[in-house]
Amino acid sequence: MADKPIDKRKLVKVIESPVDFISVDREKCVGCKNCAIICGMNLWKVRNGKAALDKDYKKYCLECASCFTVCSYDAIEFTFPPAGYGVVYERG
Amino acid sequence: MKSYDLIVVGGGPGGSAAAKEAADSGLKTVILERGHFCGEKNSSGFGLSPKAARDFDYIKDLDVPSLWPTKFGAMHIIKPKPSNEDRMLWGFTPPRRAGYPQASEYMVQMMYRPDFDQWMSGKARKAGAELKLTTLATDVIREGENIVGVVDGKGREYRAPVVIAADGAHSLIARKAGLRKRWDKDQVTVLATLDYKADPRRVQEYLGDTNVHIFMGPDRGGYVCAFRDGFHIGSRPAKTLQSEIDAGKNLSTRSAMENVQLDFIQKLIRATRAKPAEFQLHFLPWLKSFNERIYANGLMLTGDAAGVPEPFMAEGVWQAMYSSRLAAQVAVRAHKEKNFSSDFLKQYMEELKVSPVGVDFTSGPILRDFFEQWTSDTFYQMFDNLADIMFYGMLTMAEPHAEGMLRVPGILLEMLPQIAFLTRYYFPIAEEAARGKVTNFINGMKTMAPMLQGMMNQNSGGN
Repeated sequence: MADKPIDKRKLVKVIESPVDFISVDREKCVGCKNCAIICGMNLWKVRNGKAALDKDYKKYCLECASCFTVCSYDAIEFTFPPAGYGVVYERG
Repeated sequence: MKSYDLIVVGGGPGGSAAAKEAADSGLKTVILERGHFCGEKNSSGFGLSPKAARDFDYIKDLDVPSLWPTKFGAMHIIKPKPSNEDRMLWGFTPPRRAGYPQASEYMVQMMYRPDFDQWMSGKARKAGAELKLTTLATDVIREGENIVGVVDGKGREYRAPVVIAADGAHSLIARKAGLRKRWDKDQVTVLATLDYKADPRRVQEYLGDTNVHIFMGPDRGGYVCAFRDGFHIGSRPAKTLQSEIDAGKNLSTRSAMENVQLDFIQKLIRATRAKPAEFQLHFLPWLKSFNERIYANGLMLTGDAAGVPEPFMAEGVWQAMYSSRLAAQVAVRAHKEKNFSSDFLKQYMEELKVSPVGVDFTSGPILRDFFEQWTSDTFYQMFDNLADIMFYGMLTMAEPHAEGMLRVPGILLEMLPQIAFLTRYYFPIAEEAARGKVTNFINGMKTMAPMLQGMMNQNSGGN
């Protein structure tokens, strides 16, 4: 049966944060790709040997903090979007 | 600056259970929740186990729109990839031998988290707790060695001699208090779920009383759990983030997407006219042993922040409610004694460790290994053989019945490797559980001893 592929980005409701809440320390990053493997929303790429976050991550990040957890080099900082912003699960 | 007797960070079921308990006992209590409503940030494909009704009297009043108690479940054994067909179907039912009535009535109460979390926060507010929404606690306030409150993202201060942090797996308060920097990669897991919205009447007509479906097969697995107007399609039994990194791919998200193609799920989607509505990632601690680093001067961690989800199936909501209520009881005692030191609050950790929440960590590592085997070839063969005993041996309509019966011993012999496999896990788990029972009894007595001693001193003083 020919289903349309599921587009995850259309299935998330996120109130875009006005400020960054994830950052990468390019000095510490060794380009190991752990963040790119683990992100369920595919928001990480490794470019020129360094982790790079999708420019639209604030529209799609589900705040699971997996990237922060799998970084063995302490290169990723994760807090939360300010109160009132970020993911809204209506049917969680 | 506002002053309280107790600050609860996080308005999930844990935070609300703590706040209700504290407010019922007369503490001036506030809940700080970062969402616009309680449950906004939570997804767990959620079934509340009967333990909640056993332990929390008010659960009997539970009545929310999506609530649907699960009377029967089904386990689909799926053929090896690339097939999406069922090889066989097993049913399950609440046990007749259960230790308390609710456990014989339903397996879980299924509902959406925004429904349940808001219902719980209603209970806390009715008891007198204050709820502050869109308030993200970002740091603790210290006076010397003591935590005496929290500060929110806008710099507002909330002060109380004791704080309960029920702020989830990625607890900012635990970090700021120095209790941990981050979980290890093998201490956490992520479940990916796809929510589908469907016609409630069709969902009920199609699924009837069987609204939990579990899928198992060689190197694959997942689940469907149904609510009144939709269902979640979930990923395979959890793997830790470490095992996903080792595999070099995101197993949970891939698994949830692949599970949409299972024959049973495709039929369910068509029959109920279901449409995908939401994609969710549920990050949770999944420890193999009880975490003791859950208290400090003026602070107790509860729920996912404390790492309490159990080590086998990763259930966490009842654990959050139980640990949080216990922390609130200790906070009430701390107010009576005017002692908020970590030495005093340590009793929360000690009591939790010997409670049903802590006891579930007995033989955690073996249970975990056992659970991971459920998607192995061995389990697949075991179910295949069990089916053959039933339908090739005893209930065959393809051969004379007496001949079928003669085949049973041969199939049982073929099952020896699988039976040996089961005993390899069973005996170590049973041995440790039996030992745990004795140890927990002694630890329980140790916790009680100072209290009993105090009572005896008072008596002797009176004479």
